[in-house]
Amino acid sequence: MNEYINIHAANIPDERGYFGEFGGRFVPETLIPALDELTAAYKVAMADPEFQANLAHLQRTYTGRPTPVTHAARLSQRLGGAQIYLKREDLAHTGAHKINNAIGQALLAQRMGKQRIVAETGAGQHGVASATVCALLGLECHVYMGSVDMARQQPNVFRMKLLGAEVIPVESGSKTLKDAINEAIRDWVTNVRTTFYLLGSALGPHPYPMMVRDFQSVIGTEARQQILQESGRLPDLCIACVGGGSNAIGLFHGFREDEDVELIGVEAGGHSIESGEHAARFADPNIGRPGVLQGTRSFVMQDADGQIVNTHSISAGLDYASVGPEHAFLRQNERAYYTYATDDEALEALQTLSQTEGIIPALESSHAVAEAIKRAPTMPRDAVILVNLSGRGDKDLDTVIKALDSHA
Amino acid sequence: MREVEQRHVVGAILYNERGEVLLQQRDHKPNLRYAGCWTLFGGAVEDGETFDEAIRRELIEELDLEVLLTFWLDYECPARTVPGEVVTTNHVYVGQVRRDLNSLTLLEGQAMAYFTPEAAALQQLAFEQSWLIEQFYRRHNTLPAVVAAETAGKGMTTKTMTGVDAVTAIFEQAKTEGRAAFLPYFPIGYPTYDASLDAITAMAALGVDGFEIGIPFSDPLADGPVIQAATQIALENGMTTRRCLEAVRELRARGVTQPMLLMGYLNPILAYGVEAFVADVKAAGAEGLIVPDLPPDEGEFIAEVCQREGLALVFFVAPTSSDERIALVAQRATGFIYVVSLTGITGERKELPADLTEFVSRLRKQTRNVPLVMGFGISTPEHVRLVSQLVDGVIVGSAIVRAGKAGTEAVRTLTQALLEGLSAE
Repeated sequence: MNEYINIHAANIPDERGYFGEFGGRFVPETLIPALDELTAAYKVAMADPEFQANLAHLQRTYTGRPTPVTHAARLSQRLGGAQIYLKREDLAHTGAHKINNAIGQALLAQRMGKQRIVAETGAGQHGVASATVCALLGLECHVYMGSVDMARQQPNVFRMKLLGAEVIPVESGSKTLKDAINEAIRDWVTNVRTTFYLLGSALGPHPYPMMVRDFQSVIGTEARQQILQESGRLPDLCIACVGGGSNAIGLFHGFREDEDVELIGVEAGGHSIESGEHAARFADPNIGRPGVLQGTRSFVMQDADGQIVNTHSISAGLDYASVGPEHAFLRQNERAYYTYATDDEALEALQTLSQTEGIIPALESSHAVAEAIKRAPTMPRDAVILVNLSGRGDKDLDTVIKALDSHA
Repeated sequence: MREVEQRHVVGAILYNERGEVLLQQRDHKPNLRYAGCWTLFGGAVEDGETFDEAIRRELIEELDLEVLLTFWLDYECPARTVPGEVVTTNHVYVGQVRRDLNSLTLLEGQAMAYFTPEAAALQQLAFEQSWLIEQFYRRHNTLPAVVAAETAGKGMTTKTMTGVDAVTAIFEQAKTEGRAAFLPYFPIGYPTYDASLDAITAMAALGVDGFEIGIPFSDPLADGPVIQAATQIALENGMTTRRCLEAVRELRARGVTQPMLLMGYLNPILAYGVEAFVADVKAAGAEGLIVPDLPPDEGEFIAEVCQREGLALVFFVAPTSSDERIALVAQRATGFIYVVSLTGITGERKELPADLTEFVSRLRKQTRNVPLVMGFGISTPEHVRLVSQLVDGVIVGSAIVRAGKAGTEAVRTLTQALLEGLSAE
């Protein structure tokens, strides 16, 4: 607006957790002291070389970082345009980028003396990552998951249980990620003195959007070095899917100050924008408007009365009514652009990548791949697109088989 | 054997602020029982009518009067019972009339007048009503509605007070009576729109001190299962913020005079527009707002508007609140401070935390004269008794909402019991 906001500044968000007009802490008073405590502990930890060393050590020896950047040569050749590179978060331990944040927060929980962890999960990837690090660090883990998501992500439910976590089905509301977050927050409010809420995406009340971004920024930091090495230049485009937006913000963070690098977030277009059955918060001005959901001010899918509407996506991980506040901020300042891919486009992209590169992407990541497939043919052969392949598709096989059967 | 016929009649003890009872004089007609005698307003229940509907209809037919009534008692009416043939039950309501005789229109009978208890006792009232009115005056000290009427008679000016002043007055009044205030929560639209209004009206008639009126939201993250389910049903019943404001208007039209605070989550308020919302809340006749996902440090944009319009904006303190937070809340809250009794969400609990006394005394050091009202988990008369000894007001939500499912009568019974918990020393 009238006042210049320096989006490159390191002091984003501000002390109160605001990214411009987005963010903040809209939660019951009971949680405010816990958020204060968390913010303080996080700052001290990040400034502590020992904490940083622990984190880096686990990233290297446990997660398997750095994850590689792969040149998708056959796919690029087939599309006949820009060269597509994939940041391989699917190769991180547990099969998605979620582990980056889970390790960071679990180390913090341990440092704060909180033995009990609660987490929410949509696709199950964050739940699995949380269960994994809790097993690693000897913490007690309770994962809330919508019963609809449990049905479509059965393998991950089993993995969490195998890892010793308790998976608690959530039957309220739309029985998906949003409702799992409500339930996790209710648990946290109740057990706040002993419990650490391990929030899986770059949303919720301050300091979560900042903290999750910071733990995920390892993606962008690595990718920038790697792409320079592999292609000898910075990418023209960075593409990532956006549910809550943690993999995207992690990737974008590494390129934020490279003004020539275009940052593109891909939301879930579901059946289509016109149908209203989607999770594209930025694409549908009728129902995607600024609002407050689950502790943060951002774009929220809502009806005229301010009730949160049910969302739809073939990918559980993108099926969420709001989006991380920093994405709303980047979009408002035109530092990042947001588009969408439909269920069908994502499914198509999943098959294309599987068959050209031998990589089965998660349905979430397939949305980003779909955008790369749209863009690449319009760009010169020496152009570079970097796609964040945020997770692998094994967990989605059931959904994909069913979807392909119904299309046949 | 013949079946005994069951008949029902209704009657209303209508009293004014001086405690006088309004009676009508029956017509002088041959063959009319008790011709020319003074009697209560009321009459026979018609087919298909509830007793509540019957008394409301009778007062409109006889007096063109709509007034807030509370059910008092029913009894078998000897003067209208023929052994072995007819049993008549009289359902008696009480209500306060805030109008003098000149402003009332008599549509049936030959005259009407206010009677002091003594004057009424000298009359030969129709049926067994001499006994009934004697009972009423003998027992009226224990009737909350009459207690409320008496305080009104002592010059309590709730009607002329608005917004935050009316909210503050709740606690001043309760304090002069040496008790804590009682503020039930009930959401609009549960189990139906009409039933929610009936429940609130019934509680008003019992003399509760004020209300938290719930605006349903799809994602009520501070609420437990009972209120979650109830507000979900309310949404399915088509409730909107606008509809909730209409409900406030309608409750005022029904004669509910107690202060009402609208309790709702932030997003529907933002969608409505903060300025428009606060203005419409005021116009509808409510006194303030309670927004559970709005801590004071985020609340300035609403606080400003509320202050300008004179509405209360209540903030919360929790057992986890630091001294700095308590001081901040004390500084920003208007009307009262909502004290969350426990770390958790709303919902009934078997027991309240053991350290409430300590918690409240920690609060008192910081909050000085801002009234403290405790809620979350309070669900039994015993809880109310405990809590009312510590703080200035008590909120009960889930337990009453649960009763709401069973109907207005269950709400009335529970509220009565909770109120008794309040007055017990």
